Amino acid sequence: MMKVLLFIFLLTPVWGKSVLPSLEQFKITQRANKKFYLIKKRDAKNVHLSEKKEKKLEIIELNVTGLIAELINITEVKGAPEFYCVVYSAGESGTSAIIKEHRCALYNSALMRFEGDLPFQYIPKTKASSPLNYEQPQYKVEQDALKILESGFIIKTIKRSH
Amino acid sequence: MLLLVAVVKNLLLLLFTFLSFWTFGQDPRESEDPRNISFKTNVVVAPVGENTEKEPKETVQASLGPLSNQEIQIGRLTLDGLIPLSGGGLPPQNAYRNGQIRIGEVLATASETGSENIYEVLLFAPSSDETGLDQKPVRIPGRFSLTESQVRNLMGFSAADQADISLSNVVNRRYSEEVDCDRLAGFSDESSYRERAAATAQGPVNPPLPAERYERSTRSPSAAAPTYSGTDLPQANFATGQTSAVGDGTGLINRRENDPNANQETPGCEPLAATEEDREANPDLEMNQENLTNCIESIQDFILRGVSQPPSASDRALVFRRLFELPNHEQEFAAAIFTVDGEAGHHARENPLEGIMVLKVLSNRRDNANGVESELAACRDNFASGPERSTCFGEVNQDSVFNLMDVALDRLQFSMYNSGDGGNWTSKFGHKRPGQFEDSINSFLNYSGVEEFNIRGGNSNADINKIYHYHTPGVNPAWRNDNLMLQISGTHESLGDLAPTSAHVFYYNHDNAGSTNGDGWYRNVRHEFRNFP
Repeated sequence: MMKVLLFIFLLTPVWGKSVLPSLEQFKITQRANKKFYLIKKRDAKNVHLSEKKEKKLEIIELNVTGLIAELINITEVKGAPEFYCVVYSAGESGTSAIIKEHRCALYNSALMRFEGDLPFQYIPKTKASSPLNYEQPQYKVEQDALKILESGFIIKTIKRSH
Repeated sequence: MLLLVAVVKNLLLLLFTFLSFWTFGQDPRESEDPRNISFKTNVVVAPVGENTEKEPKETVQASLGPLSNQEIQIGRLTLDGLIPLSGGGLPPQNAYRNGQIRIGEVLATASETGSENIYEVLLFAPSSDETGLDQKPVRIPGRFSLTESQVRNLMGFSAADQADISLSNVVNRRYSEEVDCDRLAGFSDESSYRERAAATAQGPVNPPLPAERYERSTRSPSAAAPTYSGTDLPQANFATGQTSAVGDGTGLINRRENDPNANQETPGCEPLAATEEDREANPDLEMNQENLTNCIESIQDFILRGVSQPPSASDRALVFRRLFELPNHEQEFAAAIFTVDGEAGHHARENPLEGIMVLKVLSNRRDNANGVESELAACRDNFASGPERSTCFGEVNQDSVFNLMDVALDRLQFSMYNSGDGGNWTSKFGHKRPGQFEDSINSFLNYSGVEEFNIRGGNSNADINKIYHYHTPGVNPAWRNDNLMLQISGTHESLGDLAPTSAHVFYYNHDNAGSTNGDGWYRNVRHEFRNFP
């Protein structure tokens, strides 16, 4: 019995932080009507222990400008470990200044669902500029909510599930 | 032995974790990134200015699966497996109780998901007319998905099992209840009782929304606070109902039947809202440069009150939000004038068509966002002009939600409104100068006078009402395609021949290289400053 308890204890993660899933667990699909979707595949390799119980195929529609959307990376939302961003390249927009947009398909690993498709980073497509001198979306973590702001304006509030 | 394996395994796990944090935790962008988000992978963000986009790797095609186009009665089932395609939580069960599911196309095939097909589904709540007999399903806002196995499970239930009490798919339950004599006390007859019962009964939880091309935003209670303070600006409301074309009467500028801001008309904008009959009766209401200048300057005073000129970047949300406090037709007028000024500038003076085409793209995008392009085209075909045409436009637009201001302020689309590179709104309409809108107002006044547009380039299947994109020749978006660029010229009833555009290059549908006329393009308009109806 002691051996079993010790075995369970040793298998329990000790760092208490979320481990991000592999990018390979996600796939972007596109349909003939040009709409893009992001799928979180089921039973993929490298799935974190807490997500093993996941039964559903999760999907969310993406906001893409143009013909191409590509996965970039997965990032944690600092201070809100139940969320992570599946960051993707969402195309380029503009009439006289072209801005490349990276967006975040926000995943809630506590509720095991996508919460929304949100702005993540704007990258001006001129050599003189960098993301740092372009106003960026803000992710503000509060006790009970994650708020996403643009131009100081809340565009989405997501209730946290502790 | 088992213990030894567990210990070794976990030691390796700890070592790997330590190395991961040591390696990835040092990402230099972490300290520079303005957002409160950490980067945990070492994927490099594309260098600025470098186009790293590649050709699509896979051919996409319409995908109807074996279950597409089926309809399933929901009955009393709870649709746990349902996933809203815009993210977030499920609609409450009582929103779709006794309703039906319509199965659409396959969003992801079994090969793409690694397991099974995912279908798009639409939900319909039961509804009925005043008599309670003629039932017409009401679309529940949003689009959803179900996996093939979930759809098949639902189909396994018999309709009889799912049915609630008799006639229960009429939402107004009270209407279908048997009425005993006691309840009829105080009513002249049974039908008057039923009318009262129907009037007090709750309808579907979610009212139908006319367009599904926008996502439902979640707002915190503080975001709806009645005061402006930094991050909690309240959203403005959408106007609804039939439209009536005002201004030049072409449908560019429209009044709305149910406009929450109708009683906040800006002083000086009376000519804009006047009808032809009004103008005949009162010459002071004529649409001319002077009157429209007074109107746009009054609007400018309204949105810039208490703000330094030019405004700072931090005033952006406040100023833009105020634009939506104007009546619908003034919003559309302001969007037209400000956008031509910021996007075409002096080019609109050199060639009026540059400004007119900016207005055309704005108008086309609005009609596309509302999903009414083809219906409006039918109005144009059926009625050359006059009140019939105007009535037709108004009826077509009665379920529309987006106006010119929505598409003008759709983030990143028209560069002048940017909060960084390209954004010139602070020095344009954010800064009052005499005569600054003269060229824009001329473009507006000349908009209705174009007798013929000539489109060169791209292909021969021309439709001026489906041109949705333009950029200045000097920029290089990923979707730039020299083979699809269009150059517009035209003839005008009073200005004569209009020279070909050169300050902007235009496109039909850059999302669809195979499209010859702009069909199939659509865009989710991001409405950061407005509530839904």
